[in-house]
Amino acid sequence: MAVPVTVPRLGPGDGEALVAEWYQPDGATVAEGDLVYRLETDFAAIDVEADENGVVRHTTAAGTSTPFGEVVAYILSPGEAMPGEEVPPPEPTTVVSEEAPEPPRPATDRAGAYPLADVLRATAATDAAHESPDALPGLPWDAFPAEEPAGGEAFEAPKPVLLFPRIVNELKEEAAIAEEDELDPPLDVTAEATEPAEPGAWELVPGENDFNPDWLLEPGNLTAPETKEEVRTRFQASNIRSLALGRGKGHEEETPSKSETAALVTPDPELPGAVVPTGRALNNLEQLQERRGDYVPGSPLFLRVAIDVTEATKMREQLTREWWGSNVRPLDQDIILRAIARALHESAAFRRRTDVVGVRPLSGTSRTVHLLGDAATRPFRDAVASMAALRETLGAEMPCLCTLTDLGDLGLDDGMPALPGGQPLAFAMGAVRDVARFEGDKPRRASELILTLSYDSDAMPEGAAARLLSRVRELVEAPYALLAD
Amino acid sequence: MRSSQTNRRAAAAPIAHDRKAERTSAPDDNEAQRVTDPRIIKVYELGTTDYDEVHSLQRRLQQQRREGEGTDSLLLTEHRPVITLGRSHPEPDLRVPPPTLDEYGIRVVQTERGGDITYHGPGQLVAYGIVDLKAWEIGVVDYAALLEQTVIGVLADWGVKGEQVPAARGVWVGGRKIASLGINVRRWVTMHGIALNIDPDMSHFDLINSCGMPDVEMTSLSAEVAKQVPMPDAVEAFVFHFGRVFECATETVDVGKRPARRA
Repeated sequence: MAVPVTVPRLGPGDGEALVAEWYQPDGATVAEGDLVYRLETDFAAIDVEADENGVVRHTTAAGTSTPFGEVVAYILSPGEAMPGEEVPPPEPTTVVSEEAPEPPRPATDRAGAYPLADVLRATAATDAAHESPDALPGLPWDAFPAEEPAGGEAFEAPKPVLLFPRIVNELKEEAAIAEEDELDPPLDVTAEATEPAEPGAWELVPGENDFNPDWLLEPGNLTAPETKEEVRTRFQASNIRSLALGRGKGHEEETPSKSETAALVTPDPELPGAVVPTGRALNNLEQLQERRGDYVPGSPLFLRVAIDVTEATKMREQLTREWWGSNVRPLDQDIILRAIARALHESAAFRRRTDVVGVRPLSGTSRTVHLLGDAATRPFRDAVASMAALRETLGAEMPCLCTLTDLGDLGLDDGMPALPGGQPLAFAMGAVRDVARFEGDKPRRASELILTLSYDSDAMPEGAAARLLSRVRELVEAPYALLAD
Repeated sequence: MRSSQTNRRAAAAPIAHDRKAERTSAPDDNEAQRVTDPRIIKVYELGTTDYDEVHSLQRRLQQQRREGEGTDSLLLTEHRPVITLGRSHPEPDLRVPPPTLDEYGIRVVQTERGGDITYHGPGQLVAYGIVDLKAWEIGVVDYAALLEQTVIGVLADWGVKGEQVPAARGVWVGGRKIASLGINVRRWVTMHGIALNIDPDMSHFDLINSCGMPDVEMTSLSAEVAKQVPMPDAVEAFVFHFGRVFECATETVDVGKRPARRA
């Protein structure tokens, strides 16, 4: 019985694909599973296999574009004749769809085509170089399924543990164990904290590169600057590596126009640090109002600082190595959350109004800390995962909400105000990104997080907000201070 | 050491879902089916690799998958500079004489994938999917389109709008090509995949007529957003969007520290 070999259907609807090459010549004997021919589209090469043992007989020449479902060959039992005699032959359109059977693509139909052999010969030295000892280390083949299917059970990764405050106790336990086993010395907390920073490492020099919150209290500093020069002067005066100010609709002052906003967001290489687009929040407000004409947030004001998270990352890596083997996960956010929590706890103005991210429940009137962010932004997803894990760990002690919004820092999540009136505090975690930091003339690569504090300026003095941000930055940039809890 | 770690984003999912439920409370008909027959893909983040080695790894994984063994896998890597040739045009379509490639230290490798000539190098995120299309009930064309949508999702994370163009596969940003696609399918198991330019040495693309198109202008994510995009961020975004687009669970396999090659 002749078994047809067809062009498989590759996608919805009609289409065709090129019968590119017959792996089995006309009349060859094939076994089930042997590759019979190759089908090609502009992006895919599909090897089609024989479904049956027998002799393959082509009905279509290589180089023919053939519709899906069309028969291109038959596999015959030994001695069997082509089905052409008994059944109607395959539609002639199959073969004559091309005017003449094209020879396989000519090698020189493009100006840039070089014969492969020449190229391979010319790059032989490169091939040899790849074999040299300084070639890349090989793949960790052990990590992949073995040639023989392995029957071993999957290794269960340890559940991520949140860092503080239990970490201090664990450090102590670890130290006690290590006293008996000197081969595995534990993390030396005090040494880390007091060690002089490596050359080139970020160092917080009080008074020199510290964020001066009083600057924000100067009259006029919180208004939108008129010119770029003014922005530059402010940056230099404030020691704030980047700062963005925005006012929502509903604030008594006039909202800066779009062109003024544009002046703020234009990146200027002469400005210290990265310039954060301030227009975003404003634009989002505009978007909000387009979506929901009746939505007026309660006079929020946004402050942003750029925080160097290099140290937090280092600390995370160190702690991760110490406790969880090589299961490195980006837990920077945990450290950052802890820093936020600590700063909130320390700030009298905010402590009155907030329960804090998992440090301890505060008595009295409590508000909730929101993490706001753009749901499509990757690092925020991490933050949400961290918050969820934190909440899972702390249960009811964790009066902490994660709010997802598709509109960025301040926005609505499908019609729900992310920053409802009277909600005094919200943090938005921006993207962690790599930036160049200059110390003197030497550039240094650093990871930077843009942290936005948006709050109700009617409920919160600017100075307190600025001090809070300053403290968060200080803690994140020198995270080992958190260990001395 | 082998270990696996379930995506921690799973912890975040219920929150998002709850909020959606509040909004629409529309029943998800497919949910039950998905629970009983989940698509799971193992994700291997390989770092920087030699093309040949990953190529043979792909072949091994595809072979295993074809024989009903193994798992669906997603390999994420950056290659050392290499030019690969697809099936549709096995002659290298170069803009420079072959010896120039040697000066750049770039090799030329023939592959079994579809498509034309392309360049891989550091700064380019290459994603190879070894996926049993029959089991996932996806057609070859749809698979390619979904890979492109994954990349479009990654680009959107950085605010870049990627587009699919009917006439040409890959992902385009304003008429410039940012991701190239080429796959091989054997017994409905795929190999090869999609290469997204994060921040590669763009000058290397000038050595070839990319994808056989002399006029095509290549771009990269870093170029589009005018700032550095860290590769780990791109990798993580890719895994997230792959799971979202293909509606599958992603399980990152910790490949551990890469041992030095034994001499």
